[in-house]
Amino acid sequence: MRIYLDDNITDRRVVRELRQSEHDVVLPGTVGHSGVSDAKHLAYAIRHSYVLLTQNYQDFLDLHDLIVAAGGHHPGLLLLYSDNDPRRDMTPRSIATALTRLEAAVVPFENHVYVVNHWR
Amino acid sequence: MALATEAVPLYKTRQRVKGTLCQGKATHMAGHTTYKFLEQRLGPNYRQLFIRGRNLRAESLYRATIGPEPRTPEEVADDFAVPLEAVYEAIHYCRHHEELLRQEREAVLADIHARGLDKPPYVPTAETPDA
Repeated sequence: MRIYLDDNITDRRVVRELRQSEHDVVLPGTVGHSGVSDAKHLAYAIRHSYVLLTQNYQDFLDLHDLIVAAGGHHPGLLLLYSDNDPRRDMTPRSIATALTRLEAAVVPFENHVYVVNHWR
Repeated sequence: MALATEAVPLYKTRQRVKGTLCQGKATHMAGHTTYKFLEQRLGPNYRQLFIRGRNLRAESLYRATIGPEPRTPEEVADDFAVPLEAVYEAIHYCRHHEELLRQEREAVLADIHARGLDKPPYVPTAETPDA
């Protein structure tokens, strides 16, 4: 899967696990986007056809709603949330496994939003 | 009082004991703490603080220290490419704002349910292959 990581998920362990699972990962810092706005992150992902992975659920859902309402398109959003029980938070390895499972499910990504926690 | 910008940095007030962080004597006057590496972000969705200059919630760093595979603050700083002091500030902030963080997590869970993102095709079914 082609994945653009939002600033909040640029955890080296997550990056390593995703690449070991043969996902194509792009980091904001490598494209000069570290610290830019959510809209700019998503715009980059749209222009380069990357699914965007983020932990900032609310902010990116707002952008998703705006794009869909305007009749636009995005390549897909993948959202992670923090569980109320921290022991149930996803690990770098479980994130990579979930994304591999999601990709294998052959579900539509364009203009869709998936919560990665559900695919562990 | 400006906590993290005082002569003694916040991170030097803590010791790591048996894999957990022991809070030092964090100064907290009149319900207000000033952080050097955390900032409020404009926008209605999150009231919790973010790492200054990064689209990174304080809770994201904190959770890395207490999750199923807890890391030391030093490891978190290295893995997220942030100053060690920023990690200690995030830990301090999150431990002092647990109710706010819980409310924000509940809002996310409620929105997921309201949008149907917790139902097929947005969750695996019996036919979904394993990774």
